[in-house]
Amino acid sequence: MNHREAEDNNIAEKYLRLELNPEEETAFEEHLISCEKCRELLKLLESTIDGLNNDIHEQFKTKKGVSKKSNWYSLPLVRVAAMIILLTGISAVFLYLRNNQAENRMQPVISEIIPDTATSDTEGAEHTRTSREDTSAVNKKDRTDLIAENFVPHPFYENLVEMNYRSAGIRIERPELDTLREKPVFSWKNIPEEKLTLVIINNREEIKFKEQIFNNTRLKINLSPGLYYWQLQNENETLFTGSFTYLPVTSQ
Amino acid sequence: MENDFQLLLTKTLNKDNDAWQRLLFVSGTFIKTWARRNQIELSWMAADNQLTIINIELQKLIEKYLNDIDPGEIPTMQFADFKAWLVQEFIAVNKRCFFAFTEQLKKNDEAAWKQVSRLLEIKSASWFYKRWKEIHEDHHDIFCSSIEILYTRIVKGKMSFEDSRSFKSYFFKILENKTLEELKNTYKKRVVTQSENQLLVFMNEDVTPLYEEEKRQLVKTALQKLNMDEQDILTCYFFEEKKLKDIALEIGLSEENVRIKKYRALQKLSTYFKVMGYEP
Repeated sequence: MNHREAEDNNIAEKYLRLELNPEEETAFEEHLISCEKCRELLKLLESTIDGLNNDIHEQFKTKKGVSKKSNWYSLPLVRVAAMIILLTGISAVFLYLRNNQAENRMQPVISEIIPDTATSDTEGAEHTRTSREDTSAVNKKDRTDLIAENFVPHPFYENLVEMNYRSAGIRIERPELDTLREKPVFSWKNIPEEKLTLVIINNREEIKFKEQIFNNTRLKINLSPGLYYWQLQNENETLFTGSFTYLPVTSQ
Repeated sequence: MENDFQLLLTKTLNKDNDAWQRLLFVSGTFIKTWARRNQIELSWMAADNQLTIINIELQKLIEKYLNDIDPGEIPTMQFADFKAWLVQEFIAVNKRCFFAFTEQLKKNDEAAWKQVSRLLEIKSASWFYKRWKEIHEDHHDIFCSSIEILYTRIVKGKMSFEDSRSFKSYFFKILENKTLEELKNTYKKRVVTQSENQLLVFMNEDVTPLYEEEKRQLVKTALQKLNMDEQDILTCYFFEEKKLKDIALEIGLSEENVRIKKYRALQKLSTYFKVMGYEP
């Protein structure tokens, strides 16, 4: 490696961000023996990173000793207001559905879940639900109410998802999307462990799944359509918290 | 024909101080990279009942390597082999020194606890910032409660850790649980106990050597001379480790523009340090 190559390809930056493969790393380190400019650049970058860390550290230290406020202090006011509006809106849908369960006057998101064959019968008879995979938990009498309830965000877990974990540098590859039509595959990179514990929780804090899985595993258990929170944990800590809405493709 | 590394070794054996400094610098660089990749803390090391630092331990290892070369012998080892050898040797040293460090912690050694609390405070700041994108009032309280728990468990209990990675992991589990507790608890009132107060006083004492503090101030001033875009880009790129294209999307500029601004920001820092006569 020569200096021009190192400079043109921003090798020093990539080195500090651990973006080089082992051979490139060794080649750069060997290059440092004879290249003063790259040594200077590396020291400059390290100082910059230290400076950025110290900046955040100072903010952290100067906040200490201030009196505690209510639990919702951590959300900016606008997000609290948005959450209230969202919950009010969902409650309104919930009440509307409860009062209109005989008719097919459902919100678009609900009609994707309930097959057409289920709407005409109001006497509580059997419904054909080929698209629903977990029928055991469904109370047929309150079926439409339960469905709406399955999608209400849980404020506590919404907060966790907001926390955007980057502990141990884990990068999540899948699931990529927020709304899933088929059972999710979970895959990740940038951490040494081959197996992690996957925890899936519904929006009522019920744990639906908690087992060790290998990287790149498709979930096999049945899930009802709804909003779920999921976590990847090693033996010491939670590495990531995410959420997905499960809306399987209905089969007619 | 000797390559650069072999020439360096030859000069070092001939007591060339510049060569020795370069050898130490390069060795320190790849050891620090190894530590970063494996999340090992190099400042948590002790030997002979006192804290030690990486440079001292590296020096001992490299001197041992040089002493094994016969006088007059021309070094033939390749750099990659030297690196592999040094990393292996250092892993064993680090393990031993980290164990000694935890023994100091269990004995309630003040210097060791200051080292731990300072580093965990910096890492906790980063932990909270990366999750909330800002620092809230209660974050430091949560950190203090977590340190208290860690302190109690180590000094009074029988905890042992394989390495500093598992030690940090353990602490961040405590911090995470404490944070979740705070999120769930709307009306909790925090009462500072006497022992907690003492621990807080203990942690408040800044142990940074004066030259480190001056360096910190200089770098802080230099960063403040950058414009908002430049500060944001450096923070996103080096602190939050985002990719350039993601930064470009976030701040509404093209990737090329972000690349240029980053380059200019680093040039400005470099110029400022030269003008102030500061060598990073």
